[in-house]
Amino acid sequence: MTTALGDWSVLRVDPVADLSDSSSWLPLCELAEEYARLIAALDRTPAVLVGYCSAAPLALTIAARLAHGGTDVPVLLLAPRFPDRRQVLDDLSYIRRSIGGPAGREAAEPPTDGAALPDDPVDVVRHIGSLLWSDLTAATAEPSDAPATALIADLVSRYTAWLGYLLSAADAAPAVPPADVRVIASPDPLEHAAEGGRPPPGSTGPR
Amino acid sequence: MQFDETARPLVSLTTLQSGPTSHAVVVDFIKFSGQPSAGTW
Repeated sequence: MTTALGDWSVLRVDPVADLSDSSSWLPLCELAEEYARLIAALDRTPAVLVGYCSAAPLALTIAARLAHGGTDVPVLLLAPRFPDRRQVLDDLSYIRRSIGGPAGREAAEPPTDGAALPDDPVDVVRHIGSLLWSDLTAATAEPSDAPATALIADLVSRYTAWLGYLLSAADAAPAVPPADVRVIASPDPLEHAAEGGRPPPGSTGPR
Repeated sequence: MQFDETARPLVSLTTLQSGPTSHAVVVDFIKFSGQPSAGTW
């Protein structure tokens, strides 16, 4: 993507890294407000705010918060996805199976209804963290060793941050989109255009 | 580190590249891929 943007400055917002580093969770609107404050303090208004894949809801909400503060920034969504609670369950199930071990192997297929999760997202995040901690501990030969404990803690934080972000996006009210929103169903044409070529046939569908 | 419901994330903007003209803010994440033991997102 940075190749396609040539000599532009490119800044990244990575909510999963930020949530993981602090082992915290925020509703999408509050997370967006935090980032909007940082972006509004930049010395130049961004020419575009790009939201990739499941980051699309956050990008739109950041843009809405910026617009609320009087700063209009166009939004470009690349292969956007709008998570729901079902995706949280699906990803949790995938992660538990990939961990393996006795608990992971017994991880049930996700319920068909995303509403099976508790209503309170904080309870959901806390539950996910406990579940994954148990899974990883059970799958580790010497979980009480300091290096193993540190690795387990790091993985739990990262997994929980990812699933917590999905949950915040799933539970958020749709943002009022800014005036200028463009969508590219697949990021491939952007990379291809940067190379001076035309998008290959059939490249516009989602991955 | 255990989940802390009272904590607030210290959010940041990471510079991917610097340039003289316009700038873009990209919202995405280094998503987990592969087995957990790889520890990559």
